[in-house]
Amino acid sequence: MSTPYVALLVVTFALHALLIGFVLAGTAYVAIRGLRGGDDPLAAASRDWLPFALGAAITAGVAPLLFVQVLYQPRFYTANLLLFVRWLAIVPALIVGFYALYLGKSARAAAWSARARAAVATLALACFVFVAWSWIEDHALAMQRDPATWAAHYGRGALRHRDPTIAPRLAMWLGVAAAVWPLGMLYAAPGVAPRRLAAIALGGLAVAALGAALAAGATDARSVIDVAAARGWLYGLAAATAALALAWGAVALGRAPARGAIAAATVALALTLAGAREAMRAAAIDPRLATRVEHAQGLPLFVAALALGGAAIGWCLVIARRATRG
Amino acid sequence: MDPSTSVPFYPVVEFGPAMRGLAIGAVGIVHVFLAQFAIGGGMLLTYLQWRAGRGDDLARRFIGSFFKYLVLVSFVAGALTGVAMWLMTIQVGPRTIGLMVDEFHWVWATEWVCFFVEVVAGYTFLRVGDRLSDALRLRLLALYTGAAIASLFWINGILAWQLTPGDWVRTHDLWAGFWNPSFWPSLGYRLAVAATLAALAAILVVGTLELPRADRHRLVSVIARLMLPMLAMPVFGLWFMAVIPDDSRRWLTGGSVAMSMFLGIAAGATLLIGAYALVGLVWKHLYASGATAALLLALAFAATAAGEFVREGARKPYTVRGVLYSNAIAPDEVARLRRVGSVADDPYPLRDAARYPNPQLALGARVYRAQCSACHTLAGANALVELMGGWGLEQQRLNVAQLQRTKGFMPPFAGTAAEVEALVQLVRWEHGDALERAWPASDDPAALARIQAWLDEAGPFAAGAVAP
Ligand code: HEC
Ligand code: HEM
Repeated sequence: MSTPYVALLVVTFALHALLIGFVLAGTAYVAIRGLRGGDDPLAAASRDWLPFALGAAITAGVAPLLFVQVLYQPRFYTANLLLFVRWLAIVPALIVGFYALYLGKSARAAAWSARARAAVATLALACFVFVAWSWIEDHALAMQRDPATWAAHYGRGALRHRDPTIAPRLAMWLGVAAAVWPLGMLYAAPGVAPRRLAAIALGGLAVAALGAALAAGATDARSVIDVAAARGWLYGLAAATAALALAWGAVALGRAPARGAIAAATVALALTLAGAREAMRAAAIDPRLATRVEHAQGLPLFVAALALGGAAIGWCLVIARRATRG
Repeated sequence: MDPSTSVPFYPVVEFGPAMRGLAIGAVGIVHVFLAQFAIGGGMLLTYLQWRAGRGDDLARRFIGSFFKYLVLVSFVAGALTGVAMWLMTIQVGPRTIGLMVDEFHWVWATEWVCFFVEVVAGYTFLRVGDRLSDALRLRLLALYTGAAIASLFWINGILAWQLTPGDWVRTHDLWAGFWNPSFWPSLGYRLAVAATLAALAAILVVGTLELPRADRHRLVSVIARLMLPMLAMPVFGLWFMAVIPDDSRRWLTGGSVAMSMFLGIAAGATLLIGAYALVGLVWKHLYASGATAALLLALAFAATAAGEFVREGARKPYTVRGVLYSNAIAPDEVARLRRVGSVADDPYPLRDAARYPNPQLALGARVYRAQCSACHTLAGANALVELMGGWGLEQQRLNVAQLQRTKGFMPPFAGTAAEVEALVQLVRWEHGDALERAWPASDDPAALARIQAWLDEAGPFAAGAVAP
């Protein structure tokens, strides 16, 4: 019964993660480059694409937001409600971050000093890191095993949920981001500084692996998250990571980037990561799900919309490509 | 079994002196305004591009300047206030949005696909639009607009279902719920609003352009044609009023002063805009300055705000008509809650438990939180202390026990006689300067018996509902 939901959650969340990765690491690159007082083609190409990437990332996030509500409704809502204004704060943060990206790209900002532009990028980065932190915190709170934790949280009027897994998990996602963004650059700025991109991607993979290991180590019996349940996915994740590391390793050694291979390995990384993530909480799936949504109609409508929408998006990409080539 | 799922008891959030309805209303109005602007903007641009293809150069030039604003406003703020709506609806009514998701998730997923197409088409136009042929530009803008209208189409069905679920209540058939009685009038009305908002915003943008006055005037006249659908708004409005439930209609047209006032504001503001637009701009070909457009937009915002209030308000006492009350209690649960109590299973403690001088008042606070806080505060907006604090004791007991008779747009009281008494005592305690004094719990069995008799007399059903 829950299979189509889990599958769609995994796929759409993987898309969200890829785009968010581009946004997080791209913004960080622009900010760091600017703080060091300079500019380069990678920063320029990132600035150019960041607003769209964020728009797409947010749009991509809406789908998992829907499927999470189907699958883990009581848990997800409870965590949202407990974090309350601290949770709602992600919206203004996103608006500020979004307009900061547009400002950074504008003609007006081009006339500013490098420091001033770096400050704008840093502001955007701070907003996005805050949003990432918030999602992780929300997730950790939602996955508490004992509902008494929630009641105690409410009674205290606490807005934050402290959890030893949050910081390493954030490190993992930032590492993933650094491993994803270079792929985008291979398309947005072909031929520019491939070895630097390789170094960033490899560094990102290392940080991600370390963060994941620390987060797994910090996961304790208070959470319904079951790392062992994801064993199959984790093997796949390890394979995707190794493939990606090899592909970028070759670039670091001076080979021309194999764009297709890097793209395939990156997508595989996102999918297996999303799959592992779901497998770890599958045991906690609301057992009433079957009775709650078994009568839900409309799947054929969605499938048809997906086919039509996919075709429409494909058409857009084709004409965009032709226009930029011609 | 996952312990979080036994009863859908959620922690209740409170927005200080604002009631929860105000919080969602504020976000909702901004979002609806922006989202409708995005749809109308697509219609306008498609029309102008069609003209450009037939040699109207002015229209072509305008498209570029307007599209920037459309992207900045609607893609950024529109999309994000959309996310804000999701998050806010969860805050104010987790059980309601949960039910909507359970029933309509595939429709919602479909809406999401449409929205994705809208974003990609819009962005493609922004990036490469000026390098495309007129024919391709037209198709791209038409795709953008079609996708935007499609999103509205799907979401409109779900929202209209909340007020008029139609046959769905009997059959639980998705399509019976989707094609519900208020589907078409709401859709038509919203589309006309969308076109109007975009035209007004476009006239505002015309005012900022460095163009000869004659050119600006011509642009204004062309753009104003998009306001012609306003002619149909009275029809959709009356159609809507005709299909909503009787009690909702009565409430809007006099039963509640506040609601009638909002309805009046919405209708009056719309009429003013319509008169100016149709007579002045379309018929007489007058020129409208940016300042005029800004003023009209402000009026339109007021109309949108008032209209959303009316739409939200008309549903009371339900969030889903006949299925779920505003306080997240389902009609068929009331009878049981009257036996076991409304907060017996509520696992969430009071945050300010230490404040209450006796357990009865603390119970009252929990009952207030569970049953009243969706629409009232104790001492802020729509405050219980103000509304009933000055009443006599028996009057308070009677009116709370027979809540659905006190005002037809309130749900029936869904708890025990002891809970009525606890709530009444809480309001009395909060009302007086008694906060400092010791406050003895009341325990008069005769009073409880009277309350019980009142509860039984009014029955566990809503005012307009017939016993099943
Ligand atoms: C569906 C929303 C809703 C819920 C739930 C609700 N009320 Fe009300 N109530 C209203 C509205 C709206 C008014 C009208 C306020 C006005 O006239 O200014 C009102 C008015 C009142 C009044 C004044 C009636 C009068 O004739 O002046 C009392 C007393 C009252 N409510 C008590 C309660 C109590 C106690 C609860 C909880 C057990 C409750 N309400 C739950 C919406 C609600
Ligand atoms: C800059 C903006 C954003 C960033 C950096 C970001 C980052 C993240 C991260 C790091 C996670 C993983 C959490 C974890 O595994 O512990 C996540 C999950 C998620 N995000 Fe985003 N996100 C952003 C915006 C959004 C938006 C706007 C939406 C909704 C429209 C969204 C929807 C989701 C959903 C549904 C999940 C899965 C939650 C779950 O499974 O419990 N994200 N996000």
